[in-house]
Formats: sequence, structure tokens, C-alpha cells
Amino acid sequence: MNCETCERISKNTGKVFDIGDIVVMTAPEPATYGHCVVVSKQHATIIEQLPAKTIGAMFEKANKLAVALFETNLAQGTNLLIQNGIAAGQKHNHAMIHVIPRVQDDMMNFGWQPKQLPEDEMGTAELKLKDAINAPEEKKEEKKEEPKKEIIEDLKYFERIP
Amino acid sequence: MPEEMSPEDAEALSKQQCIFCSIVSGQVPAKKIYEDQYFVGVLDINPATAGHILVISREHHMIMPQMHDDEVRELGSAVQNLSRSVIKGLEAQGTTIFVANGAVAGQRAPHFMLHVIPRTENDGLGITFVQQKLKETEVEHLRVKLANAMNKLHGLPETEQMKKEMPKKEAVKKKITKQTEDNVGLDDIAKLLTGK
Repeated sequence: MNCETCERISKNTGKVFDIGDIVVMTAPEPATYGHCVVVSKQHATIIEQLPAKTIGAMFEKANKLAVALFETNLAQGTNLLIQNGIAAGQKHNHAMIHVIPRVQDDMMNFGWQPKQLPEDEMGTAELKLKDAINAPEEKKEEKKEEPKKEIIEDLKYFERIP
Repeated sequence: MPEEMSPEDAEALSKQQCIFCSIVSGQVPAKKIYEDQYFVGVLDINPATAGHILVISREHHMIMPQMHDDEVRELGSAVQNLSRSVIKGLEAQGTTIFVANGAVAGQRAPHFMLHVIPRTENDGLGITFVQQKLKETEVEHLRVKLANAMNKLHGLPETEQMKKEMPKKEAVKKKITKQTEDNVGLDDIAKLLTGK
């Protein structure tokens, strides 16, 4: 497998901090001066593939980096961003948390157009999400073979990265 | 508001008037879909896309750097769980996970929240950035500065120094290898997801 991020990790390219399974490095395509990414040494394309403990540690280091950006006066504010999947704009086949320092009038905009959705559409989303959040453990045990296929088909989508 | 309010009083007042604290306590109704020890997940009433989730801290933190480490780690695994549920339950093709710390970063409410936004290809949402051209020496300078700040935060000595030579040869090598990376190991991904 060819992964630019794994290569950067192994060569210590742009390394800011390295602890346990987590590496903080300067962003390969910085949006602003000080933009870094937090990655795991374990290769994973999307965050769902990482152990919960690892993603937790990534968050913790991303937050520490936000503090470091404030303390070095590189930021007046910060954005944390995960582009999880190409539909979300992901550009590298290695899951990463972007930590982007912001300053007044930096001309950046991460805004979106808020929508007003009909009540039934909101209700459907609520029910579907509740089901998905509360049921995953059960499903795994009930039907062992089918979900496997389903997961793999889902992943054909993510596999196209980059 | 009186001018000489102490920071503590100001914080107490801000908490009292905070709509997100009222959502957490249940005084203001919301579509709650997730709860744990530190966080509550609700549907955004003005979503970017259907199923847009706001993860709100139970404590009245204004920004993420105010949280303690355990809370932040828990946030990470909660987000992973929610993102997975969005992809499976809503058949999304991806998720955008977003936090704004501070008004200059686009924060609009004085209470921490994290967005989990379901994404589909060509949904026209954006939420991306444009690469800025930075000089290698600039980046190296920055790297050292941040490395030392991170060391300090972890109680380690600030020993990082500028690298004297920039690795120029590697940059060329990378361009060549980029063409051959079509196939990301699907088997590896499947193994990871099925826990084998």
C-alpha cells in the first residue's frame, strides 16, 4: 500500500510531536500559517477504522495543539476539521484531524448555508440515527455474514481515496 | 451589563443565559439522539444537511481548550460512534467533523459544540480550504516553534531546533510514487472494520 502520510510519518517529515501511536505534523497543504494535522501511526483511511482509544488520543493531541497555537500567538482562534471520506473533501488516504489557526481578517470561511427542513424529514433523521447509535452491537451478533458484505460495499466508496 | 463584573460573575451570567446549557438540562426541547457522561448529541434545527448533529458539552465550556483531557478523549470516541452511525443509518458517503474555537474561527455561540455533518458527493456544501504557498524555511521555523510549545505542554524540555538542511531530494521522489497509488488495500480496510 502506498500512503504519503505513512511515508511522512516514517521519515519524520514536518514532525511537531510524536507520542505513542499519535503524530502531530505540519499540514501537507496548509490553509494558514501554523496549520498542522494529527494522525495515527496505524494506517486507516477513515476514522471509523481506528480503535476508539486511538481517535480519543488524536482528539486530545489536536486540542493540545490548539492550546500551543494560542500560546505561541499563532492563533486568535482555531478550527478542527476532519474530512471523513471524499464526499467530505478528504484528499489523503490516511485519516487526519486538521488543526487550523485563525486570525482576524484571514479571509477564510468554513461556513455553510443553514437549512430549514420539514418536520417529517427531521423526525426521520432522528429515528434512523437513534437506531444506528443504539443497535450496532446487537446487529453484529445476529447476522454474522451479511453485514460483512455490506461494510465492504460501503467501503468501495472510500477506497477511491486519493 | 455592569462594567466591573468579575470574570467569575460574567461566566455565571453567561451560563445562566446559555441556550445550550438549557438544551443539556432539558429546559429547552431538542431532538436528543445521543448522551454520555460528558456530552449530549442533538439534531441541529438549522442543519447543513439532514441528520446534522451538534455534540454539546454538559459543562459550560466556551471553547475546547477549556476541557480536561479525559473529556476530550471521550469526545473523540463519541464522535467516531456518531460518524459511524451517520454513515450506516443515513447512508451518508462521508462526514464532516468541525469545531470552531473563537469568534474569528466562526464560532457563534458561547458554548462548545462540535458538528457532525452527513455528506454526499456533490452536495455543494464546501467546508474546505485552499492551500497557501509557504516557504520551506517558514514551515521549518513554525515546526520548531510548535514542537517546543508542545514539549512544554507535556512537561518535556524545549530542545527542538531548526534542521540545517532541508530534504529537497525527497520532494522529487514523492511526485513519482504518487502515480502508482490507485489501489488502497480494500482487504486491509475490511479486516479493520470487521475486527479481524
